[in-house]
Amino acid sequence: MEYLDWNGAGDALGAARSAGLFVLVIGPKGTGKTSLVRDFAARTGSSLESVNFSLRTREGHLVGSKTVRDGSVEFEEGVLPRSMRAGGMLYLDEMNAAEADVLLRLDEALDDRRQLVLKEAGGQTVRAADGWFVIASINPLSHGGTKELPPQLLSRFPVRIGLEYPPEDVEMEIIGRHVPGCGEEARAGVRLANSLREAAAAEELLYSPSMRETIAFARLVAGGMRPRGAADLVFGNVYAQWGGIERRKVGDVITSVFGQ
Amino acid sequence: MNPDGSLAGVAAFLARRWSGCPQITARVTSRRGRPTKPGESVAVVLPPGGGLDAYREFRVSLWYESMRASMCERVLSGDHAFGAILNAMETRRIEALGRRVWRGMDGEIMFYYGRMREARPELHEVFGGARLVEAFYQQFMFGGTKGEMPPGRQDRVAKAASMADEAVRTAVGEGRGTAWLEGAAGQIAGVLGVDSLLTIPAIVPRMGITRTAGTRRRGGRDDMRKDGGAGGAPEEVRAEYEEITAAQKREEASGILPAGVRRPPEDADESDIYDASLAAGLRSRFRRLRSGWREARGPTGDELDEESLAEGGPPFISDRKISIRARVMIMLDHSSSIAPMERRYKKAALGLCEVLAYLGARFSAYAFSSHDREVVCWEIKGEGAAWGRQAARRLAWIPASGPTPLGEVYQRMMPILEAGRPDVLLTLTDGEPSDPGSARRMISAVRRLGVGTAALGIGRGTAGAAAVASNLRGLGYERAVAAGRLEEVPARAVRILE
Ligand SMILES: Nc1ncnc2c1ncn2[C@@H]1O[C@H](COP(=O)(O)OP(=O)(O)OP(=O)(O)O)[C@@H](O)[C@H]1O
Ligand SMILES: [Mg+2]
Repeated sequence: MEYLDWNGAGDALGAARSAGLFVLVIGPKGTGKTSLVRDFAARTGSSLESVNFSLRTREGHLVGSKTVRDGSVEFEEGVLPRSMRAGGMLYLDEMNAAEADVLLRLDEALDDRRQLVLKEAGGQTVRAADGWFVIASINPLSHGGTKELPPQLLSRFPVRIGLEYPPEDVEMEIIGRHVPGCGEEARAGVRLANSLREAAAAEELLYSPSMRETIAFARLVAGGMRPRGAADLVFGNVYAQWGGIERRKVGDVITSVFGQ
Repeated sequence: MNPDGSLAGVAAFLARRWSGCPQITARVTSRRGRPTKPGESVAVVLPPGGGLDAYREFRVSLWYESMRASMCERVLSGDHAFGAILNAMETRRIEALGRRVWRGMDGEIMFYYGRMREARPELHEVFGGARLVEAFYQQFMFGGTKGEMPPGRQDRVAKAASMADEAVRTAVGEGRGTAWLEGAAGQIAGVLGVDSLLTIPAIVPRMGITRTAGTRRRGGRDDMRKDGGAGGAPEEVRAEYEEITAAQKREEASGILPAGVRRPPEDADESDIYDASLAAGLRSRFRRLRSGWREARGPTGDELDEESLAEGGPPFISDRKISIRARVMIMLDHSSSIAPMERRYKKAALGLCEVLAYLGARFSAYAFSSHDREVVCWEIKGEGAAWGRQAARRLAWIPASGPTPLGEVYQRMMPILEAGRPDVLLTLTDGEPSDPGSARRMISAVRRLGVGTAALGIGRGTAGAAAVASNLRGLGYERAVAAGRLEEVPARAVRILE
């Protein structure tokens, strides 16, 4: 899938890398953060390691953990020291979903010395190879399960790229790359999504449809499904988890776009 | 249906989506008031009578007002001739523009035209110059009038209506707005021969009257103006209507308390039992729960715990998803035996509510005490209500007094239990009921409703607590545990509910 660099984010990544600076990508889910990083890695021929943070991410996942093998306890290095040694790209996805203790270990590796003491493995020090490039993504605070980043960690990423939902025409172009030949119905889907996104931004709805959904909608319609039915499946039904009224009021907006 | 509660919420949501103005408010009223204010508020009248068709009409007029709010430069009142003529043209202009985006509205707009036409008066029912304006309105909007006019006047009306048609077509085609149509409205008033400032009386909607036979229609000019209301309600609109009516019933029911259940006044000082640091401590203690994960130890897992391995315990830690999904009703014993520890007891109960609210659990809270030999159940927080200072003040007010007639208490709570059917009824008590036989019968009646029964006994010290718990178990509660110290109450209760 060809990535459409509609806001110059790719160039910004290139500039940051040459300057030896780490980058923070800020944006709601499904705005292309992961695709941007993957595309950059592919274009620059870099190796890419990723960590997907969540509340469950433990320090051990990152730096490594002890495990039992053949009856003896061994230390297995995690993605952080591995990527440091290799000097490739490291993508820390949804960093602000992680717990504070996990972030603390990150902070150690990301400061200007770019080294990590593995107290878990006899206190050996891992130094980052030249060219080590770290990109982190965070979701805006309003999103479920996210926390404010500690300021010192924020300062490890002096280059910040905002990735919002693109304008309607750009989103149509992106969808066109995934679903060639999609038509006006896809645009109606984008408009509907934008309306729901606006509601979610004002916290009137508890879920904001991503670009993954507008692409999915276009795909179902291109496959012959009636737009109304596809809209229920992709945009409407998800709100049922917050009760009948939530589901119905979104259903009403869908009806006013696509009819019965 | 009433204009408040769920209906107002849905109306505001739809108005924002349709108008594209995220800040707009919706004024739903039962009588006409100030008109819609573009960019600020939409004003919609809820048709009298209620029922699905009234809701459909309401919904379409909300759509029209939302279109007005986003596309008109200003909206005049229709109580004078100029405003009435302009509004009619604006309605057609924003309708044409709005239908381009909201293509799913067509069927309901047709239905709406049918309702609107039914609501209009016969021409002979309108007097003076207002009759000409009414005739213009009917001719322009529906392509025909209800009743005849003298030929000379009929011609003026026809000419005015076709001028208005033309003006709207041009406005839509050339992207002109309110100010431009105002010019046309002045001319049309001139053609009709009415003073722009002529007062137009508000029409009294003619509900439930079948379509008048005398309606003359040119027809075929625009499909929107054909016989409206032919199709049934779209499934989605029907479902929405039903959902709102059900929610409003619940809202009304929660406002009315059954006999024997009362709401304490809210003038007590809650600061005596509200302990901010305790609340903060509880929140941080239960943070893991809120995030929905808890550590579990076992022979396999995500992470090795060497200490545990060395001690021969299960060596691995992994995370398990947990949450309080149950809907909970809490009943707090406020009999006289509570009195010596009343403040600490209330603090503990408040702490429990704080934790439940923090964990996002749906819960209601009640207490009972007796006065003049009559037991009263006090509503601290209904299920639909938010937890907050107000509820804390109610709890603070409730005096601890009287015996512990649990059977009678449950009897009084029956209407609420039946209507709300919580998953669990959790009773906090320090001892034996004064009516054990009746309590036993009522506990099994509650269980038959499909409501789980749990009790948390408060005893002095571990031994006392154990005695209370076994006592409670004997009464037929499905789960009964005890806390030896009041400070343990929130954690114990959460463990029961998990
Ligand atoms: N600029 C783009 N060009 C092509 N495809 C894109 C672009 N932006 C987003 N997409 C597509 O949108 C979808 C979501 O993108 P992606 O997974 O990169 O978003 P994300 O911001 O990382 O989401 P999340 O926050 O959920 O991880 C993918 O299918 C991706 O291919
Ligand atoms: Mg991603």
